[in-house]
Amino acid sequence: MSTLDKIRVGIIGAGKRGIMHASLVNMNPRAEWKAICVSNEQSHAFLHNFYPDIPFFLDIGEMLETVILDTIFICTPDNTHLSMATEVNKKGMNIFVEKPLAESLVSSKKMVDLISSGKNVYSIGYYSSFKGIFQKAKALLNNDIFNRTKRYRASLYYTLPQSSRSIDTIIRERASSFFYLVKWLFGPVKNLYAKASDRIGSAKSGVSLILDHPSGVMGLADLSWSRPGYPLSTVKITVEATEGTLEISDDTLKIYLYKKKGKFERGWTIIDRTDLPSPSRFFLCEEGYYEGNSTFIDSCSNKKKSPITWEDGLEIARMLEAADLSIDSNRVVFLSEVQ
Amino acid sequence: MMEKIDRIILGSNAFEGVGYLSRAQTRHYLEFFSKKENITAILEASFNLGIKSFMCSNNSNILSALKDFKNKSDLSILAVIPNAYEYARESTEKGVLGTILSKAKEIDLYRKVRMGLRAIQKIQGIISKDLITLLTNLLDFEMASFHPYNVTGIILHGQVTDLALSSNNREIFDVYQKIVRERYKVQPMLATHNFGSLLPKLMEWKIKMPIMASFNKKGFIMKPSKEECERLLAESDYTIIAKKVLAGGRLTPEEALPYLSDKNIGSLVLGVGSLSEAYHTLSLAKSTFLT
Repeated sequence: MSTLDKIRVGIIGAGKRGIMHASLVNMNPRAEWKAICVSNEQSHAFLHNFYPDIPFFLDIGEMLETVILDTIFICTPDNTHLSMATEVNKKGMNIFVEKPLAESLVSSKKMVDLISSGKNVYSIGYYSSFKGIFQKAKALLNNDIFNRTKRYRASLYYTLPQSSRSIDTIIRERASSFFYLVKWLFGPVKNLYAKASDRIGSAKSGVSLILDHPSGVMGLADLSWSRPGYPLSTVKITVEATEGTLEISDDTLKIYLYKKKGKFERGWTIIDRTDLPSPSRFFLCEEGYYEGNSTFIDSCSNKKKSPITWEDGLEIARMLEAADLSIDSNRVVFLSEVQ
Repeated sequence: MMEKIDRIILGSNAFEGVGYLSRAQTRHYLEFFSKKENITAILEASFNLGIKSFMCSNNSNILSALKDFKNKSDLSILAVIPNAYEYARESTEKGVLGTILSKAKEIDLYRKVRMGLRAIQKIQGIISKDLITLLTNLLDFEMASFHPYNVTGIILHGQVTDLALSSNNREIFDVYQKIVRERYKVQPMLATHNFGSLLPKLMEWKIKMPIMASFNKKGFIMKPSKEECERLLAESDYTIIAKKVLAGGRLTPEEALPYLSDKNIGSLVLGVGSLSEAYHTLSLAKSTFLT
């Protein structure tokens, strides 16, 4: 592939995610990291040592005017996404934003309104659907191994560092990832009921939810960020179906079937994540990141819609808003109410 | 003068609460090894079995255990820097630079004195525009905790090596190895999760130092592929230290160790999560690799 064919990438934000995306782009033969916009001179001075050939900018407009780019990764706090996406979109570029789409439902809707008529690619950083273990779980659920899914019980546990100052941002980010995984596995949510001492972002311990899907599937979810011993976000989902159960965790799938089905015997079958193929050629941070990043680059190269879109991000924003409304009003909230 | 790397090295992932089998295992390790006595017991068992190299970061539990370990002066420490798990966790809210600055400021007065440096100037030096000064300062901050111990090698953490690799900036590796060799007078090493990308790049740049990378029968975190890593390993004249030998706990030592016995491996790192595992795994590794 010649240099001219490569997707030319600019990064906005030099935090952990900004550096990660820049690195992943650099290891992708179909893309090239061309510029970065940082928030202050200090970051510039520090990072320039490691990336001496990359032009650094303090102003997005200047970066967009100075460097020829096709694609921008926005890796800044969610309350900046709308203004940055608006500026970048005027230049007609592909845009990837880190999750959640924006800081509120109103801003998320404005983000989706920016989408032009199919010319560019818009995606968002939900990575769980790129993890082999969750992909296998979805395939099993879709392939009727268990026949009809009846209900699921899901949990997300995480221990917030005691020194955390940006609790709201961290919790919203973790909760939005969890909601995306639930939506991806079981389809959209029709209505939900949420109970907590406070709204999601500021709830000190966690949130319990009942989720009702149009497919008839019912979910119970327990989200906690105050349980000790969970330095990594830990997901567990138990699915009950008419012909068996499926336990999904970050590392294993435990299948129980009431009778033999296809290659699966009656009783337990355990699939470890290392039993599944790992297609990524580069590993950075965690499984799923390289795949998410390179899938977006592929979509840009082929001018195809990304498998994860800003519309998905808007749906997750609706779920967050509905959960907050339910907590405030102590009633079931339909997602159609929070349009 | 660089020392030879021992054939078998005790790893410390479990002591830091890092588990690759499951999140439940991670929680167990965090809880179990929060008691420094449990780390010290494994260090003693390992030492009594003749394993005299220990690879670890400056995790506070591990340093407390090392302090109590009676044979510490005879133990060869391979220091893994930086303590990437702590950095990753804190940088979620402080950012990469913010975390580094905050870590530097946390160094207590005692260690600042022991460093024998004008520490405040060093903190400012982190934002220097000079890569040598910056990396020297970062190394000094990380290595300050290891001052009382017999450090024979410094290993750049895999996450950091892989970030540096993706920057395609030869100077980072060059400066790193020079600082470690000239300032600390020990062996510089690199850990990686991407052996198949790192080794060819180092060969192209003519930079040679030992590489620690995943090698296991399951191909767990062998990137870009198990086959490519095995091919490069067979042809390599680099010293290779195998890690994740038990595929994050998915293989028994009996299943895992024969895979490495005919490979071009210089050393292997074995982590253990209990005393019984220490006796079992390390004894078997000794009989496979030291006889």
